[in-house]
Amino acid sequence: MPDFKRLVREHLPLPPMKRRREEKIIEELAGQLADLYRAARARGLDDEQALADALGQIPDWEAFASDIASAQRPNLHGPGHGVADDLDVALRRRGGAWRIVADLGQDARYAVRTLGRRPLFLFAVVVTMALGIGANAAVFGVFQATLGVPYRFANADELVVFRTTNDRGEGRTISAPDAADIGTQAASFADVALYAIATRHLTGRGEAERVTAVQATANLLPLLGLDATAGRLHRRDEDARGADRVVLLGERLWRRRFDGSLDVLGQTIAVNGQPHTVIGILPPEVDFLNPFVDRVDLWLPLSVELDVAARGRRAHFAVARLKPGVTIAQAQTEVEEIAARLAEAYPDSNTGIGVRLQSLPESVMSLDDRLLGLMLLVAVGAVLLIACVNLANMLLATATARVREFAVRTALGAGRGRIVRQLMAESLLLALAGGLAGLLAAAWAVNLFVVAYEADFPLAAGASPYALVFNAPVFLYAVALSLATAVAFGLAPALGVSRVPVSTSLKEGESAASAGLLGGRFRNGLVVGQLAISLPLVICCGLTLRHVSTLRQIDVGFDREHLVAMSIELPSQRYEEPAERAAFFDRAVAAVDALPGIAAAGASTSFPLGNDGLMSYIRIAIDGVTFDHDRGEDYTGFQAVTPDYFRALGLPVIAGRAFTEADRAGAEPVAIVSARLAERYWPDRAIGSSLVLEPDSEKERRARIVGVVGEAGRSIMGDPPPPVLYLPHQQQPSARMIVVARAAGDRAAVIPLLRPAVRALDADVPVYDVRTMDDILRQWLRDDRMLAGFLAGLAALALGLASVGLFGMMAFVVALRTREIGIRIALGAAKADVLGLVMRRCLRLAVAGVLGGLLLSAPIGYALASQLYGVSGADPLSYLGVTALLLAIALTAGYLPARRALRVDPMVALRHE
Amino acid sequence: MFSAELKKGSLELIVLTLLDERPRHGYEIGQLIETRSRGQLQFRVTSLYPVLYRMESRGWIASRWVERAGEHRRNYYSLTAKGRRILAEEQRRWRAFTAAVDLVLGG
Repeated sequence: MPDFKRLVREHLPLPPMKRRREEKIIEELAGQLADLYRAARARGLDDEQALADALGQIPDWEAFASDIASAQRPNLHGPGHGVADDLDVALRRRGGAWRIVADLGQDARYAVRTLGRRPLFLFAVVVTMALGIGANAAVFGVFQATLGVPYRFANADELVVFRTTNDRGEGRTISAPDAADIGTQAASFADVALYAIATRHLTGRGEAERVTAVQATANLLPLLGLDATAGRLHRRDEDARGADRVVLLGERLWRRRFDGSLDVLGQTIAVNGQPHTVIGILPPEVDFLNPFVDRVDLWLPLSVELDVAARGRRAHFAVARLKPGVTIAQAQTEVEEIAARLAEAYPDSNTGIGVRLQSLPESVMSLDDRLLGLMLLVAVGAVLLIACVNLANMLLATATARVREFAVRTALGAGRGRIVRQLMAESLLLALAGGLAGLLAAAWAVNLFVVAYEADFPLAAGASPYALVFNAPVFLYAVALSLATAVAFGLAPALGVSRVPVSTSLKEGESAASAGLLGGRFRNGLVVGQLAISLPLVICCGLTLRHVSTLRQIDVGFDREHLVAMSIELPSQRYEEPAERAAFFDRAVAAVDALPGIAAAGASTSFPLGNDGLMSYIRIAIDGVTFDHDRGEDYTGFQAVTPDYFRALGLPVIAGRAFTEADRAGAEPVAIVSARLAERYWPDRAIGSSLVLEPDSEKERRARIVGVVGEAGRSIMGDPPPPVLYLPHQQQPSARMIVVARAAGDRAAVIPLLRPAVRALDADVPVYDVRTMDDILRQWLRDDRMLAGFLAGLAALALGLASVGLFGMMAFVVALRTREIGIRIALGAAKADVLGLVMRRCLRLAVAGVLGGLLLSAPIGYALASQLYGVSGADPLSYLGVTALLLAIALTAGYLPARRALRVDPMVALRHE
Repeated sequence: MFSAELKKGSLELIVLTLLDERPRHGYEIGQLIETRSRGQLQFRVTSLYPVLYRMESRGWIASRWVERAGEHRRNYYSLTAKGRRILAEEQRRWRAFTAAVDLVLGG
C-alpha cells in the first residue's frame, strides 16, 4: 500500500492553517484514497491501476486545495476566491496570450506555496545564491565605478588615443605638431584633442600644496562628452598663450581645500605663484582619463606650439573621436600613411616614428589592471560556480525527493513541459530572491571594503559606497546573472526528474529511481567538480596569506621604527640657481634637526623605500668596464643626499666615510656606493676608485668613491635591492627632496612640528606627504593589501561554500546507499568493513577532485605568484596544506553520514526507500 | 448525466440528509450517494470534501475520529442542532422548489 498520507502532504498545496486542522484534512483524505485504492484492488486491478484509479478522484490538486481553502472561510458562500484567483479567472476569460500570463501567475503562486513549505531549503538556496551573486555584483560594482568609467563616455567606442611607435617600442605620448597634422589631414577623425600632465603648486589661502594638473586643449572635455559640474569649461581662445589665466578645480581638491563652496567660482587662486581665475569644477570622470593620474586637481588651458623644435618633443597625450562609422582599423591605415609622409618631410625628428591608435577605454587599463581584473573575474566566477554546484545539488536533492510527485502528475496527464515549467518557476523565484539578497550582500561587502581602504579607494568625495552597488547596471547584471544561474542549474534537475519513467518511480522507491538517473555519475561529477574549482581558489588564498605574512616580516635594512619623512618641492621660479636650492635644503635639514625630539635629520632625492621607477638615473663610465648600452647598463640609479642622511636613516657606513660639509660644489667630486654597487664594479676595493659621471657631456666629471654603505632594504620588492650611487646634494642639487628625520622618542609628537619648521624658512614652499615611514611603507603596499584582503575574503567564501556543498552531497550519496548498507550489515558484514567501503568511495571522489584542482591550480598559482612578493607559484606549504585541508573536509563530509547510516537498524534500512 | 450545477446545488442537502440517519465518514457518504442513486449520482473526492469542510466550519456538522480494530481511523461526521434546523429548512425549500418546477413542467 502506498503511503497516501505522505502523498497527500506532498501534493496538496494547502494554505497556512492550524496544524491540527491540516493534519486532520491530510489524514482524512489519505484514508479516503486508501479506501478507494483498496476497493479498486478488490475489483481486481493491479497496484499501479488501483493507485491511478484512486488518484483519478483528484485530477487537479491545486484546484482542490483552493476549494478546501475557501471552505475554511465560513462567511463566503459559494466558491470563495482571493484577488489572485479573480485575476486568474479574468485573464483566462480574455483568452489568447492572457492565458499564458494566467498560467505563469499560477505557476508562480504554486511555486511560492511549495517553497514556503520548505523554509530551510529556501534559506539555504537564497544564502548560497546571495554569496555567489553578491561577490560578482560587488566586483562588477567596483569595476564600473573605477576602471569601467571610460567605457561610459559618450559613444566610447569612437574614442581613441594616439601612441607613438619606434623601433624600440611604443610610448603613450606624441608630439603636438604630429598630432595636429594627423588631425587636419586625416578624414577619419571628427576631432583631435591634446593634453599634458604636470605638477603645479597651489600657494596662498592655506598651506602651499603640490597638486596634479592637466593642461588640455579646450576641445578635450567636449570631445569626451563631459561638461563642468559647475561653472564652465575653458574656451578655445583661452588656450592661447598670454590669454587670461583660467583654471578648473578637481572635485576632490575643491571639496578639500575650498570646502566644496561654489563661491570659489570667479575667485582668483595662485597656481605656481601666478593668479588664475577659477571658472568651473571638473566632472569626476576626468580622474579616469589616464592610468598615470590618480586624480586631477587642476585643469588648465594648453597652448600648443607647432614649431619645428616641438616636433621632436613627444610629451603630449592625444585623444581623438572617430567619425561615426569609421573603424579603428580604417583610421589606423590612414594614420600610417600620414606618419610616413611626416617621416619624409621631417627626417630629423620623425624617421622611424609611427603612430598606433588604441581605444581610449583600453588605454586606461594598464596591463596590471587587466591582469588583476582577469584574476578577480576568474576568482569571483569560481565562487559563483561553486555556489551554482551547491545550488544544483540542492535542487537535485529536492527534485529527487519529489520524483514521485512528478510521476503521479505525469500519470494523471500532466505533460512533461508542464512539470518542467513548474520546476523552472521555482528556480526563477529562487533566483530572484537570491539575486536581491546578493545585491544586499554586495552592498554590504563593498561598503566594508571601501571603509577598510577608505583613504586609497578612488571614490568621489561625498559619494556613498552603497551607490556603487545600488544602480541600474549592477542591478541588471545581478538579475541577469541570477536568471542565467537559475536556468542553467534549475533546468538540469527539472529535465532529469521529468524523464524518469512513471512506472519506475511509482513501483520502486525514490532511491532506486534517483540512483539510476539522478544520482550516480552526475552527482559524483558534482562532488569532483566542486573540489576541483575550490582548490585553486583556496590555494590562491594560501599564497596570498603567505604573501601578507612575508610583507609583515620585511627587513628594510634600517630601523624604520622612529622615522618620519616629508617631501619638499621648491618653486623653480623662486629658486632658480642650483646653489640656492642646495642651500635651502641644508637650512631645512638644520631646522628639523634642531626641533625637540629629533635625534637626526637628513634629506635625499628619493625615498629609501622607493622602487626603481622613482629613483633618478645618471649615466656613468668606469675605467675597464664595457657597458651594454642597449640594455641601459650605463645608467645607474642615484640619490643625492645631505651629509647626515645615512645617520638619520641608520644606514651603516661599511667602509670609508659618509659625506661631510666639505663635499661642496667646486670641491672634488665624490661619491658613495651601496654594497651591491661596490661588489658589482669594484669587488676588490671600492674606496679610492673612481667613476665618470655624465660622460661625453659638458657636465662630465670624475668622482672619487669615498665610502661604501649598507643596503637600504629594497628587498621588499622580492628582487634583490638595486645598486645605488649616492652623491652629495651640494654637488648634485635638486628642487625636490625628501627630508627624513629620526625621532628620539614618540614620533607622533614630532610630526606636527615638521611643516611649521620649513614654513618658518619660506611660507610659500610646498611641504607635502608628512608621514611616518611605516605609513609610507603601507602606502607602497596598499594595492597588495587590497588584493590580499579581497582574495582572502573570496577564498574564505569559496572554502565555506565548498565545505557546505561537500557535506550536503556526501550526505546524499551516502543516504542513497543506506539500503545497501543495511543489506550488508544484515548479511553479517563487519561495520568497520562497510565503513571502509563507503570511505573508499568518498576517497576516490575526493582524490579525483583534488587532482583536477591541482591541475587547474598550477597555471593560476603561477599567475598569482608573479604578483606576490617572496612567494613562489609552487609554494609547497600552500599546496600541501590546502590539499590536505580539502581532503579532510571531503572525508569528514563522507564519514559523518556513513556513521549515521551504520547506526540505523538493518531492518529499518532495508525498508528504507 | 446531471449537470454539475444541478449536482452541486443539491449536494449539501444530500449530505445533511444522509447524516441525519446516523454519523458517517466521508468515504461512506460518497459510496452511499452512489448506491442509493443507483449510480446516477457520483461525487468526486474533490467535490465532496470541500462541501463537508464548509458545512463543518459553518457549524452545521461536527466530526470526531473513531478507531476500529484492523482499520485506519476514520473521521465521522454528525449533524449539530444547527445542522438539523438547516436540514429541515433546506428540505422544505427543496420540496417547494421541485414542486414549483414540476408545476411549470406540467408533470
